[in-house]
Amino acid sequence: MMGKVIRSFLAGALGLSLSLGAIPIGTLVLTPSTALAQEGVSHYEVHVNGMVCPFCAYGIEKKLKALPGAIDVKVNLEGGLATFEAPKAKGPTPEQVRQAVKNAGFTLGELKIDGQKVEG
Amino acid sequence: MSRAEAVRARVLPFVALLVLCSTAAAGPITSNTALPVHDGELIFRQQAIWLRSTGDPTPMSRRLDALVLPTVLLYGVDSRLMVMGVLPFMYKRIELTTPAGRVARHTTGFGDLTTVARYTALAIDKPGETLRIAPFAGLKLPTGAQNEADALGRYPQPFQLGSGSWDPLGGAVLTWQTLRWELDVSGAYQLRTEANDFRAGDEARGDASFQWRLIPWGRLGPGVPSYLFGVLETAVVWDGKDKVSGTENPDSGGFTWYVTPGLQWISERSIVEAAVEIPVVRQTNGFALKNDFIAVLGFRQSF
Repeated sequence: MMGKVIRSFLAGALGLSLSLGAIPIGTLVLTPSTALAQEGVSHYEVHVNGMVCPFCAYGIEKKLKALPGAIDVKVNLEGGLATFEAPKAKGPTPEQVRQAVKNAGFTLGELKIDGQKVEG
Repeated sequence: MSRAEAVRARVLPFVALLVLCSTAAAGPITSNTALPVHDGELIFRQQAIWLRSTGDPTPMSRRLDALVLPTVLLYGVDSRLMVMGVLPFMYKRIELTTPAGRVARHTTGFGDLTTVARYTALAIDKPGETLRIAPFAGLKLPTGAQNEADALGRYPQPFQLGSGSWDPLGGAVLTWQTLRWELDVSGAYQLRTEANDFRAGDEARGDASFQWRLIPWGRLGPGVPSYLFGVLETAVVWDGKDKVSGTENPDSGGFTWYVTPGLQWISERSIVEAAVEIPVVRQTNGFALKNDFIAVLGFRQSF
């Protein structure tokens, strides 16, 4: 009973017209990325040359997080890869990404936005 | 200068070279690195260094212990230029046998502040690999106390916490790092100037450090895992002879070769490390004491 009340409240609060009978409540919690998905996000893949130790990787994470609109920043040390998402209209330019990598002390290898290779 | 004072003369320069090498970026434990410090990054490093020297062949049977706590603050001005300051807190104690029996003298307090700037002149970055060369230059300022004394009188100048001199230093470091290992090779020279009628000998040193990832041993997996590095370092150190009132002290200076095994745990924002410098060749001049070991514990935090 309580679950129905909560689901009903969440559905109303979120303006959703879904049939909630079989949907776990957890799926209704909006993450920033799902929220952005509704307005359109770009997925950035940043290949970072020279990033080889954990202590140095912190700089990349910090600099990418500071980019306009950047969310869900993830760094993969083994692949030398950093990824993040940003709103299509408000996301960083390739030049801003290149500068962020440079400010972290590394070199931009390859940059892909939504799977398309772009010049940084 | 007496024999005992000559021994003390070796303490301060050695502490100074340890401080010189206490850079804070990830890398070697007892020497320098060319790894990047990002634009605006602040790194705090605290070390605890314990040095013991014995082996006195004279009836004085001198024994020296020094505990040095260098605090290092490092700042990335931009992606190539970093500046840092090193301020050591020191406790030095020497025991010797005199006609009146065994006596001990000790001194405690802050030593001289050393400032260093490092510039990355060359950076060749590839996927999973980097090669960097960075020259550095600095200056040791006379900020430590120079007139410490005990019941026996004023300490000899070399035993003071501060040297009173302005000592420039310079060098260069090469770092080659992959996802599996890191190699650092550096050379440094410090010029010592005269103060209080005393001039410590100049110092030159060469360092090499090799770090091998022990954990995780194989593939790293996703994200940014913490590392445990096995560390093997070596250093050759040459100290010139001191001068008192313009006269060379024959019981000062010399050459020492160290081999240093250690362990280093590295996470994204912190490093914890430990190493022991073991002298394998000790060719000191005259009756100068010889270092038995230098133990180093360290912690670094990035902000």
